[in-house]
Amino acid sequence: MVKGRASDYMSLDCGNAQVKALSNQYQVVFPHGLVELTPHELNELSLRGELGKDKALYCVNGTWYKVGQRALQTGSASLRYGESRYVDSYYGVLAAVAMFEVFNTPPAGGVFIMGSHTPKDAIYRQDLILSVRGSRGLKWSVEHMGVRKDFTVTDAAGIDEPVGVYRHAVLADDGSHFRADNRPLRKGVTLILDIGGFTSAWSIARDGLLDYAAGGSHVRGILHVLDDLEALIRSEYRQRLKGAQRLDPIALRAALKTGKYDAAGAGKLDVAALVNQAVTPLMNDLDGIFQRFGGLSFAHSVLLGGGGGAVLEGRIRESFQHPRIVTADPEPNRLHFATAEGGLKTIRLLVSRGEL
Amino acid sequence: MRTKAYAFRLMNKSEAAALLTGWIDETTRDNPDLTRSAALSQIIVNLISGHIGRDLSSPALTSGSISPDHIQHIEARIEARLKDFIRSLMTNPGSLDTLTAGAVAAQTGADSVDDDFINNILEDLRGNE
Repeated sequence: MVKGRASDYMSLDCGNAQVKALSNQYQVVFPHGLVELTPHELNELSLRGELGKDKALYCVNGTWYKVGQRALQTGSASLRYGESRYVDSYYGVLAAVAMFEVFNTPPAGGVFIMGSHTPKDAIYRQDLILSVRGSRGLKWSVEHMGVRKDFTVTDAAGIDEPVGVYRHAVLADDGSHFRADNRPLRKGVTLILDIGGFTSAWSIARDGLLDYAAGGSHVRGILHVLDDLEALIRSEYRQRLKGAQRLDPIALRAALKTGKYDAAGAGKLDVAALVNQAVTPLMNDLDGIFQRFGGLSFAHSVLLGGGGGAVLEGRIRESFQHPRIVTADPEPNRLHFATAEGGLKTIRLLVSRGEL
Repeated sequence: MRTKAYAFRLMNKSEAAALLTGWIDETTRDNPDLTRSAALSQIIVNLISGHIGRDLSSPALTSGSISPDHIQHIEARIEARLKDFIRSLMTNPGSLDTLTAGAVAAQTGADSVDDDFINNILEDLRGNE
């Protein structure tokens, strides 16, 4: 940890489904996808004068990329998993794009980045830090829609994803006070579950202090559940849906909570049994986590974070019957930001105490 | 891709309460017929409708004492707190005059973060070295 080097800062949660970033100025969320333009694409777009006009295109340190949904449409190479993502030409580029979006003007004194990663992985953490430092000596030049911004990264640190969720839940927005409403989370044992798009991670806090030796993750998240549910509904109601290839993602999320799929012109479909089928593997994963400790009763509180936490909150309450299950953010549509919020609050706390 | 800033939550409770109290003072000064409750409602309606900084429909903002830069700054800081205000308004309809400071202060507890908590974080960050 380097003291006294944070001029401004950004918290970055580069999840498998979405990239979320926060600064004191702005927040940004975009689909996790990144792919370098091919020489052919570069030529074509350059000749047509479209490089600086396309919202999906960013030039980072002289190389042009497609970012977000447009990158995902390119193919599987646009999304990297695990260790392979933590290189400056991938994670570093995503961090640079996020900096472009969350800072109106590049901070003169540079940017400190707090990046989240799966729990208990020192190699991920180290690679993450190195990747945002970049190979050009912490310098990142980003061009987008005709605007260029030059950033200097002063340093970076890593934070386990569920740890970010916990700190968001217990710290007030200034970072230097505890939240009054979540005081019970600082008593006894709290199990933290961060249910993301493609992974579900967990950690433990005891009397307000995190046990960094306890934690882990499963490669299954809410997007797997939604994919399974979509396939099941399409199969079950093929004729009624007239062979629809894609179902409405918002209606699918609602169906997870209500057991009813609103198929618009095809009416409301009773999909409760299909929902049970789709969520069972993920619920089994969660149960597996609880069984490590001999059952969920070991925890005084269960804290939910991640977009999946918002969608599955009711089901988790119903299935596991724990008396204290709380979400890290009172707004369900902010829960996917919990990890990044926790990272930002951690930085604010460290800055307020002169530790950063 | 970018959404509005949410950094109003960065204000501490006294800053936020002062800001809102100032708005109410200006609104009632410019519109003597308005009660403070009505002024606050008007401010919130303007915030909700997203007019702040754009059509400048709020008397508080047309009074000239808040510069466009200041408005932009405030706009950037208001969004996340807004939901708290609305929620509080809905649950405390009879206490609008005392709501401002209370609603802002509601989230932050009196307890400062203690040394154990800080040391626990520093322990984690040592893993970065």
